[in-house]
Amino acid sequence: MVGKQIAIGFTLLLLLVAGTALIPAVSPPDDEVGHGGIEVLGPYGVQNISEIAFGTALPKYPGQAMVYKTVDTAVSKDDALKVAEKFGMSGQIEESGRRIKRYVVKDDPYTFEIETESGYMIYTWNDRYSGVDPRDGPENIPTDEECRKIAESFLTSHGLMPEGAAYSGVSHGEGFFSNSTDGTSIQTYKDTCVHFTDTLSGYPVAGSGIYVTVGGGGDVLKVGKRWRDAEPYKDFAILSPEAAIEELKQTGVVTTIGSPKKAVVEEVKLCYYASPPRDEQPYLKPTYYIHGTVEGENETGTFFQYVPAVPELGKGLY
Amino acid sequence: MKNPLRPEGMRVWVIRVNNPFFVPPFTERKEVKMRNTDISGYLVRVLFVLLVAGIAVAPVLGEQGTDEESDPGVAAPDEGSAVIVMTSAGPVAVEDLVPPYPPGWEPPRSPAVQGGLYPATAFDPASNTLILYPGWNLVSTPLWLADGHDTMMAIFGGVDTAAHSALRYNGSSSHWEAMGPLDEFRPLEGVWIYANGSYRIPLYLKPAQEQTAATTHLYSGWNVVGFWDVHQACARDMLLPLGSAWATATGYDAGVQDYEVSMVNGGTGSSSDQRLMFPGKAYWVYMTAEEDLIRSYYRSYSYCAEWVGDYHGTQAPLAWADEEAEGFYDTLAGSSSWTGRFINGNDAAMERHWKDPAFGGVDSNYIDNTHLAFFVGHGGTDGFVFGTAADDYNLDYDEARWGNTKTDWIVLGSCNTLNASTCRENWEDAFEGLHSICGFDTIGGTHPDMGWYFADLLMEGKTIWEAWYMATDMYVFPNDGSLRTAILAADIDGDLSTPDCLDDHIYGYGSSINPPGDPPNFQYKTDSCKLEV
Repeated sequence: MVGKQIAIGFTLLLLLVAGTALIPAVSPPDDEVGHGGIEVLGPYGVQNISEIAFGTALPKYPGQAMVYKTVDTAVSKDDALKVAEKFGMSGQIEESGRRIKRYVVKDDPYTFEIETESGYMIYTWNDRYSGVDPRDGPENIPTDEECRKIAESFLTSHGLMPEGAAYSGVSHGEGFFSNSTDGTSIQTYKDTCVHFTDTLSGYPVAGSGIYVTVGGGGDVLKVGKRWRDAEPYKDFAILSPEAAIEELKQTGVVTTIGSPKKAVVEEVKLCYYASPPRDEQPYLKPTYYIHGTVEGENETGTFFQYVPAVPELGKGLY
Repeated sequence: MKNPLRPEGMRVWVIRVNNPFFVPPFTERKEVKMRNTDISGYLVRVLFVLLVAGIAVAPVLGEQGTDEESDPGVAAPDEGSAVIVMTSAGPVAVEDLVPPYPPGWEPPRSPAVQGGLYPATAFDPASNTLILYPGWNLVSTPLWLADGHDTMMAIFGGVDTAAHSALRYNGSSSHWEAMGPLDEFRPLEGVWIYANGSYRIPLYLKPAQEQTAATTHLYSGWNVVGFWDVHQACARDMLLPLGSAWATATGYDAGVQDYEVSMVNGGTGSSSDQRLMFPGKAYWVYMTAEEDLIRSYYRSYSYCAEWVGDYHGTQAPLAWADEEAEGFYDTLAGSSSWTGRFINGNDAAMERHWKDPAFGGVDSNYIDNTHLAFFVGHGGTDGFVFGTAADDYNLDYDEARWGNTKTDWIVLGSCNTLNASTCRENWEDAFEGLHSICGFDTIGGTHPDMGWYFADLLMEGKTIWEAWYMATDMYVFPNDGSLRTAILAADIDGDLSTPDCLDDHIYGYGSSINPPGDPPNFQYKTDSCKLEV
């Protein structure tokens, strides 16, 4: 009898505990219903697109393209010194870094750093690049074309323009000061970053290049280089641009526009895709870079995407 | 005319000498008998009434005049003329408590018209220099001074004090005391000193390995507390060990020779306890109970991370969110200055952990209970998104109040959270002691190596902004130049040519600057994620 009572009591206790545990599951908070307050973009902003149109004629490419085999880049102290000297730096070279080892040369106002494992290097005018120097007000920045000339001249005259590098475009960094009391905001900073991309077989290598950031008065504020050395491996059959567009329907597009409805392809070009340093990438594979405009529900913008072009090597970028 | 601000019955020692350190202490003192009013007990009762009843009572300070014609800056040992302490005929709001002035000196104007929120600089951390202004100065040493450089004589011996003693205030007896030449100038203690001109006095601090904790005991009523550290901090943070025992803190602006607007424990607006205290200065602190104030030199800072990769179909899965967040968390764990409090992933990461209690959240027990919080997940211009239905999916910007417990820096590996067109308006109210938010102006990206690379750069001494844009340069994949990383940082001084919180390093790896809660200005900066095709 007592045992039966204990069993019943225990059962009731279990039911009570289980019921308590289930409360959140059977009674979701109201917020769940209201989900959608934030317009969410997908991973990397990749979003499906239902309609793709052409705003330009598709280019013609050969049916085959070279696949390149990557070559490990290791930087010695002597290598680092030679590059620093090209920048005109004569300061003491130091080894620093924790997980990432790098050589550092400081020669006021610039600092030069190069990673020993990947060869990634940056040369920075430290105080200027923090973005508050009055010399770098937007009114003091040369035009994009002037910045391009300054950048090309700097790299060429210092022996720093890599073989195969080709101008690819400019982007801008900006700074604003806002007063929360009166709600005013003024632009206080602008720079122009001039990009030069590596080329292989005449095609650009996305993710491998050198850039020069130009600030007020045409001063060079920063130079950065991430370069993937490679050697020819062998030719492979590649997708046609038309087939790449079909793939785009599967991969989706990268865009800042939420819920895109229609994409218009403005540019399709064959390139190579280089992964960030330390990612294992034995080969540089031909890849289509597809760029264009996209229409959302209430706005329009741009999109881009990379579509691997060698079916034989799989659908991964690397 | 009677001065209603003057206490009565208070015993004050005053020395009249050319240099306060060339005479033996207390050799020429006169005892000054003050009129007798038990002001401290009265104020405690006022505080009690205010706290219990929650009634804001307008100050009734009575006449602001004085019944003696003292010459400002000259000690007046005559009876009844040495110390001015607030008294009143009625209830006084906490923020209107007026601390004592140095003996023989009175404010140049009504205490109701007090100094500004950003007083004259008292200490230059670049050169470890104490700065004195003409007139009275209320100063302190930010850290322990080196042996042989730590006495009043060693520090202030060259100061022309125009026959004024250097004074300290004994909170136990509510007495002023003249300081002798061999008295130690100790951290957490404040000294009143008169300067007959401007002075820049180098302080020789003990090396870091010899710095130890400092302690002072504070009594009920008024105490003078020296600011601890070479970098400014919110009153709330500086006085945190005192808990609820402190009621008000009032600085003295030597530049204008008057008290500043008081900071009130838990106060808001101009009386906010999130206003700044500054190195080299000391503050009147009104205590409602006795308490030890202990400040340690070596501190441990805390951080946390949350990530969401699995959105259970409500959003597309986010690849590498786990690896990015864990890489950050595990790498910063290698720092002796930083302690990881928690890392939560997928359904364990919750919106409530980031939401202020005022809006139903518990962030004061989670991310706001750490100094640095890192998030990887989906986002948009209105906030960022979680994957569990346990509470709200979305952390909206208007539900965030960060830094009102502890958080100094937030890093959001989420698309569009710092969108250029909306982020300043959206996120400004979230700054309640927060220094900066790093994130993306546009679409961003995740990468397994981005988190540890970012943490590694922080620990190499890069600024937070520099480390963030370098990490995103490296790991946000090649794009058409439209992807941009961003930072929204508190600006303190309104000077467009100073970076303020834009140049913060994490603690232990470089300088940082503490902003007030509700900072008046902001700096916003974008940087394109490099390497276009």
